[in-house]
Amino acid sequence: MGKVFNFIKKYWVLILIALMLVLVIIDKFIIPDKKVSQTVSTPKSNRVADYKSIQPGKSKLEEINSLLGYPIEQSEKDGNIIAEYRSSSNYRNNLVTVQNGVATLIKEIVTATDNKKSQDIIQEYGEAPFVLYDQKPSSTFNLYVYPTNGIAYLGHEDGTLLEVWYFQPIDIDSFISTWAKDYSKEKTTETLKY
Amino acid sequence: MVKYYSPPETLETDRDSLESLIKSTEYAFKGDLFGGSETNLSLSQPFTSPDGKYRWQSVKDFFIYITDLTKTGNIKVANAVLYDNLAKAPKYVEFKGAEKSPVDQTLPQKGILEQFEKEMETKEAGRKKVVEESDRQVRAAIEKQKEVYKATIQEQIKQAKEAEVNLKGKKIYVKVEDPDIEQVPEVKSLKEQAEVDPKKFIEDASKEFGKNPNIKDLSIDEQMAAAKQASLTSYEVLTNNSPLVQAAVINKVASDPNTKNYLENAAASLVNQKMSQLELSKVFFDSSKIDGHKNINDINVEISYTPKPGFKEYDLNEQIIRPHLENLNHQNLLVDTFKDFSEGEIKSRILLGIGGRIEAHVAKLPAGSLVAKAYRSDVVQLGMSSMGFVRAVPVAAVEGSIVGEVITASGLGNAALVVQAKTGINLGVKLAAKTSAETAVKVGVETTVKAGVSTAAKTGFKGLLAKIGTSLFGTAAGGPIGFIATWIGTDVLLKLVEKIPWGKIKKFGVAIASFIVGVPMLAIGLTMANAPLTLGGFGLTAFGAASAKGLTLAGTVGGAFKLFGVIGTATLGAIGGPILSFLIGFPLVVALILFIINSGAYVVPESSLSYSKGQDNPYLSVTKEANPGKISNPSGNQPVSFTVSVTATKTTLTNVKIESTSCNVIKKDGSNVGCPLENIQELPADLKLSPGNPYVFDFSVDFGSNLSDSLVFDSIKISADSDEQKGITTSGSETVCVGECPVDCVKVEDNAMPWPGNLRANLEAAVASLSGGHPGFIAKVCSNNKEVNLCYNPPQISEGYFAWHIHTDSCDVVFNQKGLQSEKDALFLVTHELTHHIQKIVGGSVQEYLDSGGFRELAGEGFCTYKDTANDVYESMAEALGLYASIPSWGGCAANYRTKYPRNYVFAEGFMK
Repeated sequence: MGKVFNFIKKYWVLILIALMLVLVIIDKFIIPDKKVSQTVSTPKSNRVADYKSIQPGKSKLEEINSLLGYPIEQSEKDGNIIAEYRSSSNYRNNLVTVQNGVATLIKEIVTATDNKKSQDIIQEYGEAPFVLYDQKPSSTFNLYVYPTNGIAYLGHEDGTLLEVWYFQPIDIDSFISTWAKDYSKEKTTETLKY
Repeated sequence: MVKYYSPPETLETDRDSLESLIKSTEYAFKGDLFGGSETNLSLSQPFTSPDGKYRWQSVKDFFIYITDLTKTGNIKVANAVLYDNLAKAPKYVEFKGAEKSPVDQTLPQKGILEQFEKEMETKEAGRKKVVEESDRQVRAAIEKQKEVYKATIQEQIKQAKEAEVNLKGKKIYVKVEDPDIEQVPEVKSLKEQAEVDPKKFIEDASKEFGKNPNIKDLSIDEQMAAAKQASLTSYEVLTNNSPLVQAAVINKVASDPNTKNYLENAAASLVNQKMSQLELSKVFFDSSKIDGHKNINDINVEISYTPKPGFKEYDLNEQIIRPHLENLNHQNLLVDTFKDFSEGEIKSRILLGIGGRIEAHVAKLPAGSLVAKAYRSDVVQLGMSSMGFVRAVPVAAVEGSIVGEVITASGLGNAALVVQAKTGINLGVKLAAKTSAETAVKVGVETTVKAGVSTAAKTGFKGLLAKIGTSLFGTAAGGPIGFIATWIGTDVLLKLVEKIPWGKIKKFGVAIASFIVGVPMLAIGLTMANAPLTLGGFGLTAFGAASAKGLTLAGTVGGAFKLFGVIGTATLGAIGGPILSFLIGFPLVVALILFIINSGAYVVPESSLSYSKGQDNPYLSVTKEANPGKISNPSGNQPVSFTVSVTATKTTLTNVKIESTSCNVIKKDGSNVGCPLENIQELPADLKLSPGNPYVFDFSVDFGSNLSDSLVFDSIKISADSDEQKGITTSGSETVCVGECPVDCVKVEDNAMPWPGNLRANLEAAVASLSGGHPGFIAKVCSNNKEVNLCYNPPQISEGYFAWHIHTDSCDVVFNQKGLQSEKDALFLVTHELTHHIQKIVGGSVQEYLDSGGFRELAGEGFCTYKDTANDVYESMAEALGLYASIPSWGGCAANYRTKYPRNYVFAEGFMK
């Protein structure tokens, strides 16, 4: 025992360095990445978002059609109707998921001509409490989610928006499992590559 | 009230409906997709088919409908798809009354159906079997054909090399009698312009020829190849090097009894090539108006074995054997790269090869930048127009077809002949033309064709090959499977070995091995309160650190951190937890690692090792430095000194030569300026380079005022022979900034590992091309005012990939050697990766791509050149721009980019302007 004590006393600096290295290794390689998408701030507003007066969970298909015009395409997925409505893009359509005749999710397409930025949403609802990451390694857009406000946006760090989503208020885990299966709270570990 | 029908939901519909849709597309799109507006109609106005059958709420709705129906956003293609389906649609059959039914009338209705179903299943199974068997046979036959062809061509290469040895140093002197011809001012001007800036001249002539109505029936790629080849010929004629004269000289020289044996094969092929080159040019201009030569028989060529007045020196190897060898090597390579024998694939490969060859040839042409007169493209335009066209209609027959002439004129005639014979695809090539020149020398051509035809006849697959376009090889580039994988039998270790930067850590081998095992042992020991393990781990850790830096405490501490810095995230980051566990469980690996480190030459392929050391090969390295590297705008001539250092890195090198030099000037104002003249003396003929004793030479270049505000990229390629390998080459390159040189934030840096010379030169040339040719793209890359560093770091890249956009401070993109083997490949790859950089800093770029219809055009399948583009907007956009900048060597399936992916092409064109 005394030998061990003397040994430690003699080489305490080395042991300390080794310990530090061990901690670094454990921290960096063994413990999974820290979740970077936890609470950022409290939303500014408690208002539940809607799209052109269409309220997810309330608005019926007929009402939506009267507001947006008849869908240009309609399909069925997992028992839900996916209705596509014209957007300002020639190649992307606004999507409305309808369950039992009622809209449950609206995906609004945003183009450059819409002049809409993520700052517009942040101004009203504050910073998004959750950020979800696309699992494609080269992705540069993240999904910023306000579960209690029923709104999320697919945005770039420079403020560019691709889509704004409207849904019934829901907790974040249910949101992921219901609407955002291709997204995760953690960034993909893969890197952009060719 | 007008009643409209619902338009069909699929293409499997009746003829009437298809005809109605065809008329609708033709009515809606009167403009050319690439010629400006797509339609004269307003997108929002209602649209009715011309026959009044169908109606859409708006023109836009009609476009969406047609796009969905035909799965293409290109209206020309959509129209063609509709026509195709019209041809397939069942024709109306006149009812002639009931005849005896082929079905057994005694069976009940259900039984009849079952009988039909059974027959259909049997037929389908039989069909599948036949297709599979045919596919297998075709693959086997293709492989066999390739072997036969390669054996034939190898034999020819061998003969040519033997001839090269025998003809070494043999020079003759040649005099060609020029006819008296009065030079009109247009020709004089053209000659001047061709000498001032050959590259620009050829580019302008090519543009002019591209407008020629005689080639309007060819595909765009064929038009481009024909125009390019003809423009090169026009340059040669204008600079007194007409292919007709060349053919006459070769003919004369090859018939000389002293050299006939060595030259006849090569001469046959070259004469045929030159004559085809001339034949093709006749579609565009009359070369006799320039030099007066009309017929090969009328050209008087004299040869002498001693220098005489009026005679020019003629090196037989340089003029005949080397070009012939180059042709053979190209043909060899061409056939080797065919992935299938479908018509589109073959034609695109050949055209791609032609484009590459012409570009390579043009790049070597010397510019007469000392000629004071400035280059004026209008002179070229006017001069070319004044020469007129000599044919009213294009040659359409197989014999003498334009495509055939392009192929033959580019030296790929033999390969095309074999392919044509094997596949039945008409490439417009034939046995050597019956010119007077050819009669004496035609052996090479016949040999090749015989081999191809006879085997084709035996295997009996002709025709099938053309129809079955099954891919022979996958598109993804698979890296070599190293010896380690086989030896250890675990890909875990293989990955580990790949990730370790061998060159850097070799000297710390024992220390690293100790660390790798010691630290985890220590960790486990501490965690489990296991004293022996803790101490063992500690001991190894300490030993590792100490052995790296000596045994002092400070040294040990410093060593520990330095070692981890060396291994860094490149190794441990890639290894991660699972490997760590592996290492803990199997300390034997340490021994293996040490073995691998200390005998790296055995287990890591030589080429990989040299690449990891920042060299193209293990034998030779070249560096080039400019002094000064930045100068202010010169008022007169300002000298810039270049120092080239050539070093043997393994064994003694002989036959050290300057293989080539290349230069590119990028002016801030976008104008074209020739490179400054480099007066580099040849290296001493008896130069021997021994390792550690570099040969250094300087040369000075005068930078004139015409280079104000420009970037001058300059490279030199050196070749040498070692006892182990002949013809080793590597390059050194340097860029000089003059005045306010174009803002270019993209830098090729050694921030990870040193760049091998050739790869650096290719990448730097690619970056220069990108800056000069696509300033709009570079402006987007540099829009956040930060430098974008391109680094070399193969260990950081997964097997099968070429580069990563990692977006760190030191390196934005890391590359390995795979995608940078030529300037064209490098241009594609760097554009692809820099697009990821743009996506990272400018979100609107992705939005723009999505709303261009490019991504939708790919319909979830992605580009044929890169499987990861399927359903990935980011990769698709990067590929779209990369392919626009350059079609890489592996991108043959996208050779017709403009027509295959029109919306992507149009997007890229606009984005990169």
